Amino acid sequence: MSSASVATLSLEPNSSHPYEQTSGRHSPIHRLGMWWFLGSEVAVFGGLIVTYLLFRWRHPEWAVQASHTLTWVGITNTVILLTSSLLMVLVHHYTMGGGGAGRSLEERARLGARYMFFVILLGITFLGFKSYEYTHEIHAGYTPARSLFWGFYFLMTGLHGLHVIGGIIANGIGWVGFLKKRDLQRSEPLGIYWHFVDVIWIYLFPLLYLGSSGGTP
Amino acid sequence: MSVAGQSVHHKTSFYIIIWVALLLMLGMSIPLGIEGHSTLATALIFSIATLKAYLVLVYYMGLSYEPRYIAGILIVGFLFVAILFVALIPDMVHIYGRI
Repeated sequence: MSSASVATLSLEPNSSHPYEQTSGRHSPIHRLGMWWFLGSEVAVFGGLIVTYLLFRWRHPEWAVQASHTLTWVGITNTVILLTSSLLMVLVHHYTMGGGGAGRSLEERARLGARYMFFVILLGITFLGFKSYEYTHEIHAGYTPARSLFWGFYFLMTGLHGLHVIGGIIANGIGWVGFLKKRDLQRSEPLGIYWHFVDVIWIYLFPLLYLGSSGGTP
Repeated sequence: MSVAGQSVHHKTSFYIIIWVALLLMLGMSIPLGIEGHSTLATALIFSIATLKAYLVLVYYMGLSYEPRYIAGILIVGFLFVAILFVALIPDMVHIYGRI
């Protein structure tokens, strides 16, 4: 990383972000806690994905069932989550002092709140598309009880959807804090979590929506 | 993203470039997934997905700026997944006669 492309936030004696003043080889406790949580999430989602892959490997006919998922909704939701990730990284960027060392706390909070609002909006939009997709599939008779594939489909996307809902609630709490010009450091664990939700979807999308026209995944 | 307790910032254009790259890779994987029937297409789709996940992990989540033990925490999660995978193989052999 070149020094020209990276600016390091200067530490203020009375910084409102205590973790910025930590030093050494340790990650601040709120980030460390989030990483530990995500470590357990890797096992949860990874276990589901591995089990799905093992079954799908033995059931090439699942490709036909996967062709009944709404690929255009999957693509749209992928774009939505990727865009929300970009906005979330901008939330972190501005709240933690990026984009100019001279920004005041008020301005950082205002910019963070603005971008966080759109992250929340995109999260709700994601859920809207997902709800439409579920409605379409259930009306067509594709329920979790229909086959093992649809059981996996609803379990994995449903669990991911619950994580999106949790992320929206947490982001909402963060957003309120930004509006009150406090707790700007929350953008770090909130961002890490939201990006992780995005990473999970990056794998769920090809697993459940692509490779549906034949062959094994 | 942070390093040694301090926040590290790229320019906003850098994050936008990453976002464009992610969208381009999504665009590449869609025709592969819809038209692709081969093992090669499948391998390419998941290679692209892994590259996308890498970009998000490293540049958006800032994993490369964290202490190494943070990556170790995630690796432990992957180890549990690997154990589950190995543990499921006898069941698959029992049900299907072979893996």
